[in-house]
Amino acid sequence: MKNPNTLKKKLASRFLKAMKKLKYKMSPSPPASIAEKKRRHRAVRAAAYASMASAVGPRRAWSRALLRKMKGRKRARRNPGNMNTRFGLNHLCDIVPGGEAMDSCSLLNETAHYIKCLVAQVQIMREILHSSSSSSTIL
Amino acid sequence: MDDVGKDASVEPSNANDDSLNYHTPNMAPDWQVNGNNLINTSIGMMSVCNSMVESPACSSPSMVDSFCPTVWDHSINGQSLGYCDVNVHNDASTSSNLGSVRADLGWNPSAMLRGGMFMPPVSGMLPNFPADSGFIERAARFSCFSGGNFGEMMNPFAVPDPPNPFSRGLGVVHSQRHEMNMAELSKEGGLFLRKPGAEGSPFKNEKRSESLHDEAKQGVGVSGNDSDEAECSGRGPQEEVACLTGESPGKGLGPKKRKRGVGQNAQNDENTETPTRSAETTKDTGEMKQKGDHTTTSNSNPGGKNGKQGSQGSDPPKEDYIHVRARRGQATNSHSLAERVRREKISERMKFLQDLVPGCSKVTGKAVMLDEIINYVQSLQRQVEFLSMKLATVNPRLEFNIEGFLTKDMLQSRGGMSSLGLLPDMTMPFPPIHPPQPGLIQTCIPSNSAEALRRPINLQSPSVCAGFKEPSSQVSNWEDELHNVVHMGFTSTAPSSSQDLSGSLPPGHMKAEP
Repeated sequence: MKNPNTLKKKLASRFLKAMKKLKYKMSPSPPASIAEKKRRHRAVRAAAYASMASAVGPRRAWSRALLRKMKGRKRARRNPGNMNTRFGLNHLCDIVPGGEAMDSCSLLNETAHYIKCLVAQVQIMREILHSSSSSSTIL
Repeated sequence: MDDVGKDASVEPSNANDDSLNYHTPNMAPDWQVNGNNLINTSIGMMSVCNSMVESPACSSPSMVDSFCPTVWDHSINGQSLGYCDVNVHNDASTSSNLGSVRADLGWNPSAMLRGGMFMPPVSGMLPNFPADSGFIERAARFSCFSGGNFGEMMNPFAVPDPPNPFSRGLGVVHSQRHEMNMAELSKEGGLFLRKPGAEGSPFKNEKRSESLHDEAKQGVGVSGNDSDEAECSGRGPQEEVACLTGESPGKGLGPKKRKRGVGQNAQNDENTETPTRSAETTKDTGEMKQKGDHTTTSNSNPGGKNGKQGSQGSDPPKEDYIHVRARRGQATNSHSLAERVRREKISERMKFLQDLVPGCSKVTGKAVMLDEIINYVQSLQRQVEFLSMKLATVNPRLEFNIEGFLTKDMLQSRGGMSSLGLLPDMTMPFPPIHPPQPGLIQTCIPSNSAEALRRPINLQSPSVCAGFKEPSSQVSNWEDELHNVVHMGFTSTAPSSSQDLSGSLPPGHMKAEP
């Protein structure tokens, strides 16, 4: 499948771009209120998912679903025929974006890819955090 | 949302999750109070709790609520550190609880694994279809069964369902595909052998199995292949075509590739040539027409099937269909075969997922695997939330002008990150640094990074790092080491911060140099 390094690079570049954009919107001082913190947090999280979805592109059902969610379009219709074939994947389809409209087999495929991308995204975020914290605390 | 309320009320009673607040999956508002805590675990636990409440037919909700976090934590602990970085605080407190709670609730993967079925989610539903459950259990078992044990399968199969119309035995059931009404079967065929544990449709299974019985009776019997093809293609669109991306009815071989990935190319070739010789009850689900006919010879048993198929005569190839061969002792009903094909596909995917999810190599059974996968995905999502929260606080201070540097060096070189600024000055021995280094991370976390982070260094970092390109030769495992480092940071306690500061660089440097 996808080479993890290339995936990571793509994800990282997109995420950093998104974060940069976000940074300009945020005030440099630490957020004063809880609401502000929540807002920021949500913005960062949205940036993370959006960058992940856009890096993957519309090739995958989950990324398509995520992009749809980002753009505010309505969700894909649940295919009623899929419910019969679910085999207990109902929870999984709730977790993986766009899972309702997929049948079991493709749902599992999407899950696998989604996991890969999530792992890469988490790594990137952690590394960014680590780098920033380490650089700042060196002195 | 009821669970949310319940969780909130139950939360004070939970010994393990100290100050965790059970909030909606959206970020808990009090996260900053739990700066060094696993706030996001509450989110995951919420969803875990919800799922737990739904799935096991168990006990009082309160029990489930209190159980969920411990279970979740334990599952995280049990699995690799790969995604355990947020478990620092819960480990000690919950491990003891977990053991007891787990025993109490009987939330045992083994329980769910009986017969390789999905555990029926609602115990109340079980009595409703005893015959089906038994039969389905065996059928489920058969699908996973390797081909060598056909003989064993024969007997048990005959036992449970006297009314079962399925024809037993080998039979070369010539692709009797479609006496049945495709439209209905497309839905029901998939259902017939559905395990009773299928969530949300146990009743449907029951009803459908009845109708399928009738249809199976009609269906049993050898029929011409040609009519089948036509109808099969008609059915195709309704079925899980999504599963077989890009496959067209016309291509007999192309779709086979899907199963071929499993490694049964040889069989595929054979089977396309002699479709009729095997029990090709093409699945009502259009998959049948697209897969190679041996696909049902499960992934685990390529050899056995090959022999059998080879012995058959050579009938005109039916490329358009997935010709599924009935295994010895299994029902040759088209529904069951179709079902088996589906199930095998799914188990193939599950195996792949098993590799992805850490710590799942020992787990057997779909139900448990699914739970593990769900837990893993939830934990990853929680981590994203957690990290985004931290990044949100850090963000204003972050100098993303180093992002270009980050993307290059982070991904390509080792030690690029932690070597910022002080590398030339660091001559400390590396190994001792590791323990203090985690402390660095820990000190950052509790302070919410807001105060602890000063960014004077960033100015010189780019230049220094530029000079420090030489470790880029060592590309490998940088990320892994970083992971380990970070996990160490998250899992160990922090020594004094003074040590930390000095310790921050050398680990990176250490990675770079050797």
